[in-house]
Amino acid sequence: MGAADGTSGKQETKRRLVTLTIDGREVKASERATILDVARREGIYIPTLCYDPRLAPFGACRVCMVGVKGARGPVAACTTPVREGMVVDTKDATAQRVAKNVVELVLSDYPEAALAREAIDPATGEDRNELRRVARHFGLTTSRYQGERHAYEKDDRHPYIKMDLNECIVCGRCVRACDEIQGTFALSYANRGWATKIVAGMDSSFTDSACVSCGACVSTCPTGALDEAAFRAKETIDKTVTTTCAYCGVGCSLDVHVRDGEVVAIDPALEGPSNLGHTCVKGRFAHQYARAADRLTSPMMRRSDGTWREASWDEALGFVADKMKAIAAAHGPDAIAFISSSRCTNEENYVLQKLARAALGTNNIDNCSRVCHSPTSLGLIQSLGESGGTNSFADIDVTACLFLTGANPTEGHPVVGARMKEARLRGAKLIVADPRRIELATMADVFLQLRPGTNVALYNGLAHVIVRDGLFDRDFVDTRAEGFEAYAEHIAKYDPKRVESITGVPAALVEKAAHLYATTKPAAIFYGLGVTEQAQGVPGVRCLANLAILTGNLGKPGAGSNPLRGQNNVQGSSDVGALPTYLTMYRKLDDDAVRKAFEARWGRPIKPQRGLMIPEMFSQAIEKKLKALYVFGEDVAQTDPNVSHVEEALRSLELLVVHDIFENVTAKFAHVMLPGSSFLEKTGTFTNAERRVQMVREAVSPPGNARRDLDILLDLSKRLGYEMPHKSSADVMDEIAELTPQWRGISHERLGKQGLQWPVPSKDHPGTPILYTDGFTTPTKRAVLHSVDWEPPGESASERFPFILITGRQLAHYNSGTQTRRTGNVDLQPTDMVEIHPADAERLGIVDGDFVEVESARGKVQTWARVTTRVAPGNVFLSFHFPEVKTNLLTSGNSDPSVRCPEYKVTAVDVRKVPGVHPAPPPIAKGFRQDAFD
Amino acid sequence: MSQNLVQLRRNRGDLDVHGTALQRLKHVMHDKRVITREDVAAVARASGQPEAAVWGVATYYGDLGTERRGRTRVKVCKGTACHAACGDASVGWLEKALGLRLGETSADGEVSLEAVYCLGFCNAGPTVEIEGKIYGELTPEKAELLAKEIRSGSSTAKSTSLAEAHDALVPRFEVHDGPAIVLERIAQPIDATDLAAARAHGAFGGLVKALTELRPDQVLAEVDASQLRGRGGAGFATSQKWRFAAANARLAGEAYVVCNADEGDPGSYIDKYLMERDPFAIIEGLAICGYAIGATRGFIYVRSEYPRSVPTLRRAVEAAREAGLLGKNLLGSGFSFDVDVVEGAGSYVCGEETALLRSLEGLRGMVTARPPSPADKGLFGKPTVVNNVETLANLGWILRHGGAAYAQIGVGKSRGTKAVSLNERFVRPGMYEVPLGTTLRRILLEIGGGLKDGRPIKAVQIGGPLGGILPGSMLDVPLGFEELSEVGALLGHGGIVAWDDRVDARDIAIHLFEFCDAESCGKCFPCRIGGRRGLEIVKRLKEPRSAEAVQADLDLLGELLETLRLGSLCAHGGAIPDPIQSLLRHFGHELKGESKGASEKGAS
Repeated sequence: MGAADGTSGKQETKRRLVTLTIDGREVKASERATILDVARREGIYIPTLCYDPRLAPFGACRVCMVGVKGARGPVAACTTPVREGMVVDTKDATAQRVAKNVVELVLSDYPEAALAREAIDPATGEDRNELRRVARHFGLTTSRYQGERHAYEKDDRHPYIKMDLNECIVCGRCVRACDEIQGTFALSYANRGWATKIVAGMDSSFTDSACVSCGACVSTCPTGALDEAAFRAKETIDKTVTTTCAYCGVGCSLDVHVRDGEVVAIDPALEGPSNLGHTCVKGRFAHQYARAADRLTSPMMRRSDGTWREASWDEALGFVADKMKAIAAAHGPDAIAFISSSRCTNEENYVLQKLARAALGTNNIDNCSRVCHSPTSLGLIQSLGESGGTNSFADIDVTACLFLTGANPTEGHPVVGARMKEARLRGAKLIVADPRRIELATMADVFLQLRPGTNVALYNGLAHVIVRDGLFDRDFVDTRAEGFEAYAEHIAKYDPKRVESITGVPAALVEKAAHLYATTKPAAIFYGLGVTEQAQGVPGVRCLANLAILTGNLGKPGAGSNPLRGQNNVQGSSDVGALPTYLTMYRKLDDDAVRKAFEARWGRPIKPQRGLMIPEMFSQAIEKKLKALYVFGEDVAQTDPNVSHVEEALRSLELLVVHDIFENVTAKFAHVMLPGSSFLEKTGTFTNAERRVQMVREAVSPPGNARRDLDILLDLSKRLGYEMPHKSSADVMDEIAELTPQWRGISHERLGKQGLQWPVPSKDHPGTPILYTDGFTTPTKRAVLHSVDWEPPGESASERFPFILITGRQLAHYNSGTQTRRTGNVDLQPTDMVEIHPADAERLGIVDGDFVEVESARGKVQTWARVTTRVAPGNVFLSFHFPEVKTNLLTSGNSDPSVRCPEYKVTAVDVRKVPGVHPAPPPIAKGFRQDAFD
Repeated sequence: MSQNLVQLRRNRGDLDVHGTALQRLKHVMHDKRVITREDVAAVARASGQPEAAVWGVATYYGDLGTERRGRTRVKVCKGTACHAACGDASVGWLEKALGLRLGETSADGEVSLEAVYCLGFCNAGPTVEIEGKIYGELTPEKAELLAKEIRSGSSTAKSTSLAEAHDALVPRFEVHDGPAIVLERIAQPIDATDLAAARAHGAFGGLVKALTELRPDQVLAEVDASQLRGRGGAGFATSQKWRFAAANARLAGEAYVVCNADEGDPGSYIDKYLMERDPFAIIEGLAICGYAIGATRGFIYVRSEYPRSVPTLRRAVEAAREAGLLGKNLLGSGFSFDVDVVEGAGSYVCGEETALLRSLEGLRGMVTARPPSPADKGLFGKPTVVNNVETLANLGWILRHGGAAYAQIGVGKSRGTKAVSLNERFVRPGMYEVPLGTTLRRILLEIGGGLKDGRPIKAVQIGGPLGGILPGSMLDVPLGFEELSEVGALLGHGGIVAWDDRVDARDIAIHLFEFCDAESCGKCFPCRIGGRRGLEIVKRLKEPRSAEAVQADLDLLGELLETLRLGSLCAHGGAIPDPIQSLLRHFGHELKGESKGASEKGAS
């Protein structure tokens, strides 16, 4: 087709406004709007059953019938677009009669008992069951139609999702939600005519289908056909609190339903900007841990015989404060260190670093981003200026090309994963570079299955092709970047053939991916821990930034380079200064002006020298230089690499305080345990991976004697002789905003249900969804093209350890598993298993489900094998969610030299079958095997 | 929803209509007589579709199933013509002969008995299909004979001593009162499935003219001038549909033409004989449309109840390709066009355009709401013209003789000729081409010779199960879209079924609602639930009950009919009220059980 046609086509698709009349009101609307859209906007109620604003119009239920002047009969409001001059009467008598009769037909096959129930939503005053709401709207309590009714068996085999087709009205919303929101296609219509019904999988059960338990079907079901058992049984709720999910870095907005002081169920909040009314198996369902029987509900102190005893807060905090004071007096404050929590709020992290710096006088404060995304912070600051992803999750919806590398979003960040699948389904191009054939790789245009530890070579190779073939954005490179000449010379040696020899990726695929990425605009990079948890973590981040700079994919929608942060608040905990090197927003300690501002506000001096990073804390403890460690909301003895080394460090301490909601693995070495609060039990903010600061709101109270974390930290500070003035977490945020130019416009009051994306420089600033629209914030104000050579990873396969182990996450679980293992998620995914390629397995005589041993130079672990082509030959994969499988016994102490982020992703190991008879592995729900499209 | 399922295949670069989940499941069912979960999983993998969606397909179509069917599948026709012929008694004959209830499979897995709506031998009902062979003029004796031969023969020998209807029970093909257009070749003693013979009698003349003398817009202008309206039932102006698609095709860069050969209306066998006796006319029509709108691929979607249509069409496509009339660069014009022939799997609703396209994509044949129309987003999301067989068969003639010549024939806004088919009740059942405007009286009584044994016409239904029913006293109405709809009837597809005076009007109502219920796609609420509730109500009419109870049911039926008519998503639920309404109008007393046949005198 000619260019002229294409141009006119674009013009034609531009939205135009039309004027129409609805119930006598003259209104304007986009020509793409439907009658229902306009009615809803105007506050006119039109009953619906098959409609959900998250889904494409479907037109099945025929309950939204309205009159349109001149039409042959009533029309369905949900599928009828508005037209210029249209006259709509939503109260048209014929339309109302038809709609009412349809509802009466529906009721003729709906259980009378279910119709008679009531479940009022306190927020709206309306019944949560949409069919009952619509029936009451029409004044229907029974049906005149008598005849056959369906009688189905209930399916309650899934730990959360209960299916009772007797209450199903076959509106298809669940099928469409699974398709259009989640992209999993686990549900379908089956049969036809009167026998039409909804099935999961092959009319089996949810656990035997592709279902990933995201709950999108449950969230859209208008009746009680799909529901959570607990929710259904209780029916009514006292209140709904909108908060932010405490699992991964997506930052889903959640509606927490509360009854009698307990969480009854959690739904996605429809307004949530990062999740758009969606959530995953963790955020939606896995919240029972907060009321687990083994929750810590009292401060605990270690008896001399090593057992625990309960203590009062006064005693426990008094002990900790006295001990710290004594150590500081004897060895100086730097003999004490704090590990802050990326799972906790900005306010708590801010207060803890303030406590370390102001109350004690040490910069020994670090957080777990050290072991995950510290390379992102440094790399992005060096290349572009800011320590945050350049764009937003909303850009996934508009990008033309996704380049995904070192991340497995459909498991690690499921809501973003679903959004990426939907992007692919609308036709966006997809490039995946990963050593594993993850779910998104099976949907990709190009899949680059590189060897672990060869990211830098691959990215340089892509840049090589882009420059060689003249596909880079010359204007952008000339006017907004620096270092191109040296860079072009540098990457000249990364020709695809050489890259193939390093990475194992065929040269032709390198060429293909480079062309696709460079010529499909806009293109967005998303990356994860597969990039950062490498010995070349920072270079990897910078090489990705190079690609975005070269192609001019910065400062515009649908572009950029975007980290998928691991934990819910790994962005925020670093932003607010829980780092040994920085005050808030990555301002250096040796910047006198910055330090002085904080000193003035805090009334205490701050040392200009940096403190210890987490790995250094362990080494110094072993060397007896570090005497006390306060671990807040982390389980370093499970999650940090080379666990034996960590254990030795913990054993060497004079004081180890574990401040957590459970007695975790680290607590084995602790002297005091302080029971904190889950995210459901406190107020504050989290910052997600798109720099969005969002409210966390208290839904229920902490159990027993557990306290809100902020109260514990403020209390401790007071006992250390430094009483902070903060009355609430809102107060804390006000102080952060006062001391931090990029957060100056942030306050709890302003955050509302949408949050704000930093920078927010003033109280009237709307936040910044896309960075660098007006230039970069590096010292030269230009993006920096960074020349870096690939270096082999810290470990490589050898005769003794012939396999490379990659570690990562499973869908149902989250990091150390302390939360998810205490929920029904273990029924879905009950254990860690070693993924091994069929060719390797056959050579080693291993079949799927065999019990095997994985050994590295540092230790060995045993678990079951899962034989799958998801891993390449020579690679094995293991997650780290279950303490029974101490994956991090295997990982090494190698790390990126500049930020000390460990090389979790490359460990040389051996795998062998364990002789003898072993029990079979517990079954994994089908959708959690993630092999639906293998 | 289904767009994402299509996109899953598009992402694999796979848009082959023969490798879809549906086509793969058809093979499985043919080979194994059942579709197991393992089969569904395998088909899901092979077709790039999710397991649940494939399960949905396997349980949707009449030909498929997840319960085992017999090695010999006996499909008894419950279509309207067979109902008129014997009032579904044929079902009972076969049940008795086979010792099976309808829907059952014998314990040894040897035989199953199923129902099917119309085998296209309405001139020779009652009919039954046994493994692709159709037998007509069924009697209890013939049923016994068939059963005996099935039982005695090994599973591989499914032939019987009875002659197949294809060879033995061919209807008349005649042209009356006007020019021969769609029966141009069929009504002559030639074999028009032979390309040379067909070309000698005009086939492809229109395409040659289009490609050598006319620009696409000039072809559109000729079709415009002909005032041709779709012959599939809706009567939409053909050129208008084409223009819309042509405009969209320019934006989309791609477009398709689909021939709707899912002649599902029980009682009609027009398209069947157009396909089996003059396949080149359809291929020519597709190519002309493709040329006019800028499409390079055409598809013919054929219902599976016509076992001989698909092979005939495929042979014709092959012959046309060999002759350079399909394929690349036709006749050196630079225009390339090719055709795929795809078989359905037993679903009436797949005759509805959007459902047909989903079925071509290998999905459940469920209706989608408009907009967008297929001419905007059709097959695989691209602009698509869907034209009926007879519509396409007109095009060669229109281009050869000019649109104006075509428009000279006809009545009112209904121009040209129309093929009609008469059922077995008539003295001269057959397929006739008449100018639009010809009265029913002329067609039924003069051309068709009235009913056998001099019996009066009690009721006549035109245009399939969704068309209104007229009493024998109302035959002066001319054949035309508007003319028929004014008297509560429908031109529809042109299939005409008459009942003689022995039928109970309540049985017609039951027959129609059974059809509505059995064939509903299940998507929209009025049709899915209302079809069943309507069936229950009309069945109750035959039970002895008080007049009040009957009246209450009829009142409720009236409301239901309004809801179906105004509320349904497509014509399946939307038009079924028309014949029921006409039964109420013309045979109201009989439906109430007050008297039989008292309201109207039949015509004889």
